[in-house]
Amino acid sequence: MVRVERVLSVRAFGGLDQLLRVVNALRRGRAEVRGFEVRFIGKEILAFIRVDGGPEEIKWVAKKIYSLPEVKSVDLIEDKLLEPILR
Amino acid sequence: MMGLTILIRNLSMHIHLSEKFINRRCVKTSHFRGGIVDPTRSSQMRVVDLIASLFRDLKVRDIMGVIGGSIMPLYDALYHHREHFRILMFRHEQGAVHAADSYARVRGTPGIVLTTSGPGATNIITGLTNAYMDSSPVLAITGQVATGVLGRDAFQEADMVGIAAPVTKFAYQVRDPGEALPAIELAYRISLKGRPGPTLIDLPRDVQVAHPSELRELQIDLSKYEPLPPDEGKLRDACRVLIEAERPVILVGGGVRISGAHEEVLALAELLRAPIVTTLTGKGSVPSSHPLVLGVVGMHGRPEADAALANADVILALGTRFSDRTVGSFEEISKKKIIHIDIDESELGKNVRTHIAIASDLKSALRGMISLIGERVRRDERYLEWLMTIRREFERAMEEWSKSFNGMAPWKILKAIRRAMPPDSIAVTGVGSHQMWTELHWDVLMPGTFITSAGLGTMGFGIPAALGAKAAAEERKVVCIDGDGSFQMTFNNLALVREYGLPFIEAIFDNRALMLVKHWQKFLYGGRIIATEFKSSPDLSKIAEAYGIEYARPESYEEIERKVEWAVRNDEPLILDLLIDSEEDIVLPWVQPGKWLTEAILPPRMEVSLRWSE
Repeated sequence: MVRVERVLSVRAFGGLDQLLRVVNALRRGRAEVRGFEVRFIGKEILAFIRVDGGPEEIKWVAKKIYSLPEVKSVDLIEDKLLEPILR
Repeated sequence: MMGLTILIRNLSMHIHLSEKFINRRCVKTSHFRGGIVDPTRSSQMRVVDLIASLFRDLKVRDIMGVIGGSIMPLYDALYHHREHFRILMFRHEQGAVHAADSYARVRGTPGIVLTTSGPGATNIITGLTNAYMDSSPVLAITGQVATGVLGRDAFQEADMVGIAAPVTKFAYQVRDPGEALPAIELAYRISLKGRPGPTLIDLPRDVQVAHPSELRELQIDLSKYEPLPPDEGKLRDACRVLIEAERPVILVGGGVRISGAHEEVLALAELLRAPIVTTLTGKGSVPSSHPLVLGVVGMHGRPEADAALANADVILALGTRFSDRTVGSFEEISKKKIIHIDIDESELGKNVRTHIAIASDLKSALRGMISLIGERVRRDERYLEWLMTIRREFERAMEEWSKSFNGMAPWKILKAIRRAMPPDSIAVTGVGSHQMWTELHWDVLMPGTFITSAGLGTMGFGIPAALGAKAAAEERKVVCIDGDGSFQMTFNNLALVREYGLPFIEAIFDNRALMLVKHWQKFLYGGRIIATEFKSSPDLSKIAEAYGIEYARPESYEEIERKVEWAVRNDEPLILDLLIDSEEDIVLPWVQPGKWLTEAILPPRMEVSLRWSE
């Protein structure tokens, strides 16, 4: 099976409670989490989640996270572009 | 454009509501509708008073729950509006949330549940999960300890957002009183928007009694749930594939009921000359009496339905999540050409690979397909005739089996009850073998009249769900097809039958066992029967007497019919104790876990192949 590494860039409303819900969606997907960085700016969450898995599975996880009401956007980013940020 | 108009309208309504509450807060109490605040004490409304007013504006009629220390302020606020609300006081919070779930499925508006913190709140988790799995709109408001002691293991504190987060569409703890009202109104709307689901607002006790100086909206935009018009190119492709198919089938899920698209499904099936099979929740979406509706497919599916899905070359799947219980083998189902339409984009491609995936509201997608297809497709009718032959053979075999069945046969009991109930009656079930018999043999004559716990399979769902259905539609008759195992889990809620005048017929398939599990022990666990047989069962007549409900233990199908007719005619509650032979009560057909639908074990003396051969 083809595996790729991607970064999910998630913008959401809220704080830790809402991040927990994002994590719950992530936990139940089949993509493996390789890294996680979060910033809280007021009532906004910015999360960069590095995942590894089948491309379709990663897309599904992105859709599942986006289906949460508090999530404003989910972007799938080729991981190389974000290397400097994640380091 | 239409979506944009709806969005603008909804936003305007929301702004209007919020402004109204801000204005109310600012004006003198004499201007308040209902005069809920004593003008000598305060010119501002408490959070709980605002919530009570919101419920009135939302035309909430029934509220279900159990009171306790941390939710007392909200109940107290409702006291001042008690002429507008009926508070149904359940005997356990699980009952309240199942009732709210069922209520919502009947009325199409969220069922409201109010419970206290700690155990009161944790007791609703099964019910929330049930509502989540079956896409039912429920709004739960749980009391919480005061914000000052949050996280310090205060009396009756439980981390409700943490617990409920994975089983709700939205869960939010309000710590800022200004957010309370907007959060509850938002949770109400979220539960209905797009794919429905349960939401939870956790409300600390001090927040409930606070007087917010201003209202603060949660920055959550629901426009993403507005259904987009279906992609016309994909609709065209789907129509082409379906027209060219040799043996298409339409797989109907619960989404068809939610979307109110049953007429479109039937019209499309007639155009395509395609049989319709359903999931368990889909059973309530289309009328069983339509000649193209073959029934439920899957583990305990009807053989003609299993055959239709197994031999199809193209599957049009509508509002379904492709449960393992429905498809049996994911490997086999994935060999088909699948067209999947669902409002929830995350369902597309989740369990099966799709040929064409369309994220859309079903009703508009189906209307588009009907207009694109235009006229009836010519198709070789021999395949449909073959499926009908299987149906007739199944009915014949079941009739023959009933003659040798020790005592009354479950499927014939169902037919007797059905004959005595009006067409618009609502049937609710518990979970177990009785549910599977109902899945196979209960005729849904009108869409939206069958309520069951499908995704989670929650034993004990039946009685509270029947109460919720009756509360939602008091003019209609309700029957709960239950098992003695399911009955014993939630029968304490029968107290509400007389208390609130919510009569229904409780038909208990009494086999003194957890029969579906015993069935598996017999056939998959080498006959080792453990923890599934009740060595001692309660006297159901005494339970009936205790709750002031008529009891009967009929010994013939005619007697069942007479008793049910009496209850229907007089709108009286009735407990039917239906003794079923525990050794014979094996639900067939049965597809063993992981096996393909054509490998179903059929009833005795039913000798047909479920594989199509020209």
